[in-house]
Amino acid sequence: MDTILQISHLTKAFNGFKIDDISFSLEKGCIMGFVGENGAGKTTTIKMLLNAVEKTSGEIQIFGLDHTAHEVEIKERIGYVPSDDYFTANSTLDRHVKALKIFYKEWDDTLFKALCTSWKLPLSQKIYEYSKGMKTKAMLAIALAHKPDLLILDEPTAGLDPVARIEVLDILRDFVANGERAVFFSTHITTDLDKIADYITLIHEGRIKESLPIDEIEEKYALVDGGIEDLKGKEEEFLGLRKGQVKFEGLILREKAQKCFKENQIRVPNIENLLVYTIWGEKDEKSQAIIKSL
Amino acid sequence: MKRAKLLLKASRTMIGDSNSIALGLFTAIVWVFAAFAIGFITYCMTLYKTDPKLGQHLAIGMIEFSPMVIGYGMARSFYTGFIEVRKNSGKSSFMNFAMQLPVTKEDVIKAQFLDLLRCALPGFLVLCYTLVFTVIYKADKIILMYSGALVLFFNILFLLICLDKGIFTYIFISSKVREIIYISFALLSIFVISNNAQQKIQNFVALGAANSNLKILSVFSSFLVFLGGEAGFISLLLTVLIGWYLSCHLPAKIFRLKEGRK
Amino acid sequence: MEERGGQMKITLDYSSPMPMYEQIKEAIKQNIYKGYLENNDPLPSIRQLAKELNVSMITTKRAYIDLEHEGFIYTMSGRGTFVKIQDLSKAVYDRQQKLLEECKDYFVILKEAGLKKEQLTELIKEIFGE
Repeated sequence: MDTILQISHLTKAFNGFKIDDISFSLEKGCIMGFVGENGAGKTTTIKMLLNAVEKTSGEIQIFGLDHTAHEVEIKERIGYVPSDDYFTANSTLDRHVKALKIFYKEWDDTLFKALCTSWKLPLSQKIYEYSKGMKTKAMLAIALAHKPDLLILDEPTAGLDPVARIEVLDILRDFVANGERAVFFSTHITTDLDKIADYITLIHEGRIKESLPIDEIEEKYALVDGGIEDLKGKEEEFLGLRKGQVKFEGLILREKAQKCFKENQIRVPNIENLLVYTIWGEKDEKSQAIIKSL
Repeated sequence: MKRAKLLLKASRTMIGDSNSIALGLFTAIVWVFAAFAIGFITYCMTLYKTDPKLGQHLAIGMIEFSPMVIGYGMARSFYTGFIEVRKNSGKSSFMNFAMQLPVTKEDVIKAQFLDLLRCALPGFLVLCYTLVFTVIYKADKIILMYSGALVLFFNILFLLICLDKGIFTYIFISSKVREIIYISFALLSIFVISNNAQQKIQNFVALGAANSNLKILSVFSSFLVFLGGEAGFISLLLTVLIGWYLSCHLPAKIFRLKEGRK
Repeated sequence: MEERGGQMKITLDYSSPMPMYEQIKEAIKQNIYKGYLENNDPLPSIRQLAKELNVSMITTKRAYIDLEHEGFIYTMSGRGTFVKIQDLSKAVYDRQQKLLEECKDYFVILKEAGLKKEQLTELIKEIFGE
């Protein structure tokens, strides 16, 4: 069984917001980046994975098991790092670890201590004295210490300085290196994804807009730019477009790009392009015009 | 059950008596009071044989003392690492913490209940001791009434807390409203202790016995007398069972029901 | 973004129209044509290459799969991936033809820009000798 995470037709209805029929899957040995705007449904999806929020309908299978029926088994093997820390500010890191490690069959204390030393996380200091970056690193250290097979991370690099970001990305790469484990992480920092994501899943307003491996994304989409005259009559073809007075830039299906434009106007889109143009493509034209007229 | 115990241990480790001086002191004081109360009751029991009148006064004094042990002991249950399991939880940091752990929501609920039991323990012990006293020494009406009142106090408080932890998993009532309810109870317990109030209650009861219009008061006082004796044990047991049902069994059933619906 | 694996040199161009995996593919082919990579030379593992180029291993995997398909490399399970040079002459010939075509297109542009034949022959003499 190569699929570590399988989501089928997941739906969650709130007042005024809906996660609508989401499906995607993640294979062993891969890192999946989960991108979308704020409020698109990333954190809610992750919370549903962990059964902290009840789904309305759909199936979630982790390690081939249903995520509610085998919740305890599954969570033994999952490492989770949320976007807001789960620490009790008045307590210390070693207290939290003492509280936590009793739940896991496998806890590698040496690894944990090594990570803390390497990242300069003082174990006996109160959490309220930790910076955001330190808290994230602490949560990551805890997540890694119980030897999980799946890492679920919600904006893990958000509070980190550039050096720490690279260190974390390296760790994630090494984590999946043996082909048996996987990483699922949501982020806005698309440059991180350009570096390590194997799969990209794009969510917008509760729906999955795209979920593909990175090579297929680069094959399927193209970024086109040029002078405004080149755009004449071809606007409709674009998935998302940014027009100025002199120049334009937009995301378009590659096959269409090759038909309508010259080779030297076509480029490989990066993940930021994919994210931004797909979302802009959905935005209401009228309200955009009003904003532009500011 | 095992996981629930682990959760309890975890929550106490994170926000434990051992790492918060105020909490530690609070718990210590509650237990000291409980020990004191029990010691005092024993003293009263020995005294009661030789000098019933003195024994009675002392007993009343001791019983006045107990609501604190009961009330504050259970108040301790609000200062744990637990924050309620809510329908679409995500806000509280303990749920963020517990959500990754290999435990289920039912385990968290059970752990909350165990925590409540642990907090109610000093009060429970004092109560049991009081009841033993009233039963063995065939205490007179006044003492039975007081002990009955204590039992009632314990039962109501316990059930209320269980209701809170259980029902509010599913029905959302503004935290302001709940705060008001708890504060009223805290105030009520102080009221129960104050001498003035007790005098007034005694007067009311006496009045009730005399005046048939205030029959309800005498019924109430008989009820208290009833609770103050052997029946008290049974009522305590019932309370714990009902409390467990309300705060653990029902919510768990509702969880399972919701899951099963798919 | 450059990487030298032994003698091998790969440069990724983020403003190119080619997807990354194609760029890597082409770059490896170029290395073979130019002789930086010889027959049976080992190539970095998919993961190693991905790490050093800062791309996903899916990208490097795809490049290797395509290259193997086209006959430029071979894998030995447990040992790794290696260069395969068969028909180098054909590959070289193909490349030369391609470049000539590109040259032709460019000459057309030069002519349209107003350059004279003599300027070009001077240039050719300079590079190729008399």
